[in-house]
Amino acid sequence: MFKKIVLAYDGSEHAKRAFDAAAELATKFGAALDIVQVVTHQHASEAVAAFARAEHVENPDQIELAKCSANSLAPVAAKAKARGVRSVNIEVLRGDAAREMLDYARSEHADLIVLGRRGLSRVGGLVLGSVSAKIAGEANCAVLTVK
Amino acid sequence: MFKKILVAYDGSDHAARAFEVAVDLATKLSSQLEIVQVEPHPTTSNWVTEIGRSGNDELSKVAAQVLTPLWAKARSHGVKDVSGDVLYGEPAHEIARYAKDNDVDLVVMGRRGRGRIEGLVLGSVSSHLTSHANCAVLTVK
Repeated sequence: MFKKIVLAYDGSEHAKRAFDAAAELATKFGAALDIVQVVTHQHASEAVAAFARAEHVENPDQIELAKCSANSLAPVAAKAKARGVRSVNIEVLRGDAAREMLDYARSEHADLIVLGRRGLSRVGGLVLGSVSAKIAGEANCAVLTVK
Repeated sequence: MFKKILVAYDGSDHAARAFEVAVDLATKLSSQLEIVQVEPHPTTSNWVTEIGRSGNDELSKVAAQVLTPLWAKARSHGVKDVSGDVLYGEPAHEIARYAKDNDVDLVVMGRRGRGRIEGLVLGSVSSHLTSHANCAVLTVK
């Protein structure tokens, strides 16, 4: 039933729980798992700065955003493989989180999107993150939101 | 991971697809499956009295017509532990409450139901549950 699962990952606690669900479903259904992180422009500079600090790079401007994000996703991918997911792919996208996820899932013919109910956003009081809500409503496939 | 799955059924095409997905999940994950049908009711006192008189008949009628075949279908697909109920009341509220009372860890439902509000991409019940359920929610297109 589920052959291609896309996990929206942003490093939050919700996303980690979403990862557990995605990996479990991927192994049980023999599905391929794509772990996708969307970097908004707001977070881009923070991510680059953090990477520069960690890697002692002199000139942060030269760091490719994709590389430092891929660094954070690689251990997640390794974890998925260790759990028996047969095919794991990581992808870093840049732009509007919901839009990028929806377009990616559609172009990859995903049959399930998995994401946390909320993410890293600092807007308190929202029981359902705006990104999760938009994806749940507009996706071309089933959507699993994990608490 | 998902030991107890609840599928909310309302007779719509979306719900039928949600049922298929829930059964597939339950067999692959060896989960228990709860199938519920929610009958909404207007909150007038007249109607409540009516239900008090003939409540049980209504319940068993709906159960026989709708739930019993679904339960049988789930079992024939290999789901060992199948249960459920007919719920009365406001759908989102009743489903969320049933899920919580029965330690459900995954609610599966159609993205939309029988509602006639056009233009809603995510039905009001699905939307409410996705936000407020005590557990994971899977909406099926």
